[in-house]
This record gives sequence, structure tokens and C-alpha cells, in this order.
Amino acid sequence: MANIENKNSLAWVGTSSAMCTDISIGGLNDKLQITYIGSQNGASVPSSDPFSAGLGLSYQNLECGVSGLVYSLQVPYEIGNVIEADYKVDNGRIGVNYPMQVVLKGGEGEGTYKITSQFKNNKPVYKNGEWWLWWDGASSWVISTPDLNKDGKFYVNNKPAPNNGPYNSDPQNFVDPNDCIAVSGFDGDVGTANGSYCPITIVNEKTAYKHSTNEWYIFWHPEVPLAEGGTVARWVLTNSPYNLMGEYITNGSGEKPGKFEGLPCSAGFVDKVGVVEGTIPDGSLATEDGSEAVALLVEDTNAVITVEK
Amino acid sequence: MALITTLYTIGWFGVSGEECTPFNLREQFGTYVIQDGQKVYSGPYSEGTPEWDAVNSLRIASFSQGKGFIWSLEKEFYAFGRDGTTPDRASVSFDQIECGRMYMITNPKILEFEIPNFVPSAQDVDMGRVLV
Repeated sequence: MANIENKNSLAWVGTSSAMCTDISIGGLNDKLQITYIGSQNGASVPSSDPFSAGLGLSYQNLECGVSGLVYSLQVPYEIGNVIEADYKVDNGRIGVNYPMQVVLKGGEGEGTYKITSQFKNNKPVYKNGEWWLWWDGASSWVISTPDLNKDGKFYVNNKPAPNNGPYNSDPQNFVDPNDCIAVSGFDGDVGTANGSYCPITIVNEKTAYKHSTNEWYIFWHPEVPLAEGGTVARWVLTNSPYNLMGEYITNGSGEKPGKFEGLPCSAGFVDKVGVVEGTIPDGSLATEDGSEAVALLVEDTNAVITVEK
Repeated sequence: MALITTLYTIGWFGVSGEECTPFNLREQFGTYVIQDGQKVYSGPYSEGTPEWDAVNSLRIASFSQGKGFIWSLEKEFYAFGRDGTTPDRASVSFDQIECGRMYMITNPKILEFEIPNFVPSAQDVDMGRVLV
């Protein structure tokens, strides 16, 4: 648990030090005076306080991954997994949940889409000149121009991550690089960990990935504790970024995640096995070698690679 | 990097895995200097243009130990002693956006500008965790 130490502050909900759960504003009666969080279109800064939140007149929770202004009645008090910022102190870096930019190549609307201060359908909005990249709230990321809607030109990727292409322009727009990976093989309660994972940030100097449902993460942990004592560096698949406080399973120490199995793991992953496969990069030529599907990965400079899919 | 495209933005400066260097507000938006005994704007925008008006309306706020502080061009204008010409920056609490801090940006005329490494946030959007 963390303390709110100052009566007025900017604060971020969620650190890597503990599992993050949303904080009920109504439960902070006599502590929290009022809080302000930016709206998704950036046109306002809605407020909430314990009384109005209790009545359902304003937002109910300080949600994980959200930040805002916090005005308190009396300090200090414990609030949960929150970190207060101080402009005189470096309090760390954000392990972001979405890529800060997406590069598309090959089709209309290609270019570098940079994250903006605007949000739509609970996800960030990106901009590349007169083109926008945004989540349609249902099933796909969309690049569109001239506006943030489908009234003008638009193309979709029909995928839950913005950096998982291709987008269906003609010719197609490919994501550069498309480093999404796929996990399969888990069953039972942790079967939801199967599926597509795309890069979002760098944690402990290696790429971290997020599941398409936002429920699972894969990241590099340099010090996973062993039952017999000591620690080991491992890839970790978990539902609690970026720690070992939720359900988790580990695998090898290679440059990329491999096969998740065995110990160390949490109780929910005992005897479970998950296999990581690289996704066929956009633009690869899929073919058949007689028994298994094959993808020809054609390098544009000096190498041609063939991989069994 | 983030493009600031909105009236209000609250966020964190510093993305894991990316080189983080302070974002100098005076270089980005300008300041005031004394030229021929007169206080004049010095910066990348031309006075009187819509862009300069937008910069002039910009406010960037941060907090330390419960107190709020603001950077604006107006703060730069008044960063002089009583004689009006001797630089005195005691009234300017900060003039750069630094790594590992949070800021609230008020941008009434929607000047579009870029802040490398800035992570914006908003209601109902999980933008990530502070790595500690």
C-alpha cells in the first residue's frame, strides 16, 4: 500500500511493485476531497469525490493506468497502488500499455503514427499528418482521413492491437516491424493466456508483450526467486505487470520467449504448458511443402529464410 | 513521443526503454530577453501569429510537496527584477519537463506540439505502470 503524503498532487495509479486493483473513490470518505482525471477527448477534466461517486453522479474508481489531480482532506493516508509525482524527484519510467508509435509501410496512409493526447473507445489515438489511427470500439484498429471516423477514407486491420497488421488498403499497409507472437497450449483456467501478444514497451531492457485481451503480459524478469533459494533470469507470462504477484509462469532466458512450462510458476500454472510461436510477418509468402504449411520470409537485403509454421 | 492535440492533458514524462532527456520549455516555446533596453520575445514563434497566441495561452503545471507550480510565457515575461530589465528567474519554478515527473498541460488554443517520452492518460484507459 502507498500513502498519499500531500494535500495536492498529481498521481498515477499502478506501479510494478504490486498487483494493481481499481481504487473505490466512495471508500475514501474523509480522506479524498476531490479528484480530476482527463476526459478521453481532452476537452474537459471531469471531477469525482467520495460523496458524488457514492451517489453514482461521477466516476466510481481510480482505475489502474490512469492519472490525475488528487486533492485530499487530511494526509497522509493509505490509498492503494498509487504513486505521487513530485517535480523535484525522478520517480521512474512508465511501462506503457500501448506502443508509443506505429509505423505502416506499403499503402495509402503509410508513415509513422505517433501517440496523441487524445483517446477514443478507451484506447489511445495516433496521428500521422492528416491520417488518424484509432480503435473502433468493436473489433478493429482503423486508419482514417480526414477525421477520426469512417466517413472518409479508412482501412482496418481487424486485429485487437494497433501494431499487428496488415491494414487492408490496396496495396496493403504492413506494420514495420510486426513482432507480435502467439501463445498456445494452455488449458483450464489459464487457457485465456493463449492468443496473440504484441510488443508494447521495454521492461528490464527487453521487449514486453501484451495479450490482445489486455489480461496477460509477457516480460523479462532478471530475478525470479527459486524455491531452493537464489534467483534466475526468466521470461514471465503473468496477469500482473510487471511483478510476480498474480498468476504467472516462466520460461527460458533466450532473446525471445520460448516454451512456458515447469517451475517457477504460480499455483494456477502448475502442470500447464504454453508454446510461443512467431507470427508470420506481414508480406510473407505462405506456401506448402507437402505436409506442413510453410512461410517464406523474404529479407530485402541479404538473406532468405524459410520457417515451418 | 506524444503529440499534444487537446485542451487538457495529464501525463507522465519518461517511457521505459527510451532515452529520456529533459524537454526544455524555453527552447520549445520561447522566453523574453532584453534588446536595446526593451523586453522582447525570443523564440521559434512570431509574435502576433495564431501560433504565438496559442503558445501564449499555454500553461504547464506540476506539483511538489503539495504546492502547485505553473510554467507559461507570462512567467517568462515577469522573470526580471524590479527594474524590469535585470534577469531574475526566482519566480520561475521550473522551465523544463523532466524525467519521472507528472504534468498537466492546459492548451486553450490547441497548439499541436510534440513532447518526446510523454505518456498521456485519460479516464477509462489503462496506459501502463510506473516501473519502480
